[in-house]
Amino acid sequence: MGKGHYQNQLRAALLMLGVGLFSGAVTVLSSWLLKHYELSKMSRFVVALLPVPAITVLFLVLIREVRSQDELVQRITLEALAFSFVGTGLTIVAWGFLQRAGFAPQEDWSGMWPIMVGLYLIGYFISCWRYR
Amino acid sequence: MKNRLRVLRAEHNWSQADLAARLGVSRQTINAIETEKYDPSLPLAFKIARLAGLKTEDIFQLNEDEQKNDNVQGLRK
Repeated sequence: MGKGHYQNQLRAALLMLGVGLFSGAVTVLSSWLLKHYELSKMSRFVVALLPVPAITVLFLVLIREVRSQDELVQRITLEALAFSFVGTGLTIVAWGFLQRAGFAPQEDWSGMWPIMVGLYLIGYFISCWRYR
Repeated sequence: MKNRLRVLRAEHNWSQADLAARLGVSRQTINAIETEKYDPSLPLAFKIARLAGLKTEDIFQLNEDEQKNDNVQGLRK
């Protein structure tokens, strides 16, 4: 994998960063509009779902990137995703138990995303360390 | 699975990066195969064998434990 490979990797990383920033910006804009403007029911519906197409593009770019990875990196990514999936599931179940017992407040579940991403990064570094 | 990749690489005077470039994989993959932390896919094993002008079984072999399991399963059939 020569210079061309690293240029492709850089291009893919920049594309993901760009799409990620764009979808983040659309999400912030949507939340801001919903909070600061009195919109009709239909407009609220549209604005609330505004980030979905941008996030869908982000997913597609991510999947394309994973499919183009080298086989060991694909293995590492899969292990990291499994770690994140199980970790997020455990967090949700534990949170639910605490809610039932009255120890945890009702939470906005879209806030689970940062936990999922954080667990993915931890899983990714653990797998990289295993195959170092 | 054990392998002779490090020996073969030394015989051909290839660096890990050279071999990775020839095979179209990352240097990390070559290192993980050499340290026997990762078993390559079948297509990659064939590519390595073809590059070295050998058969895959000349480079990759099952560990003793894996061979024992293989023999036990063979007896059950």
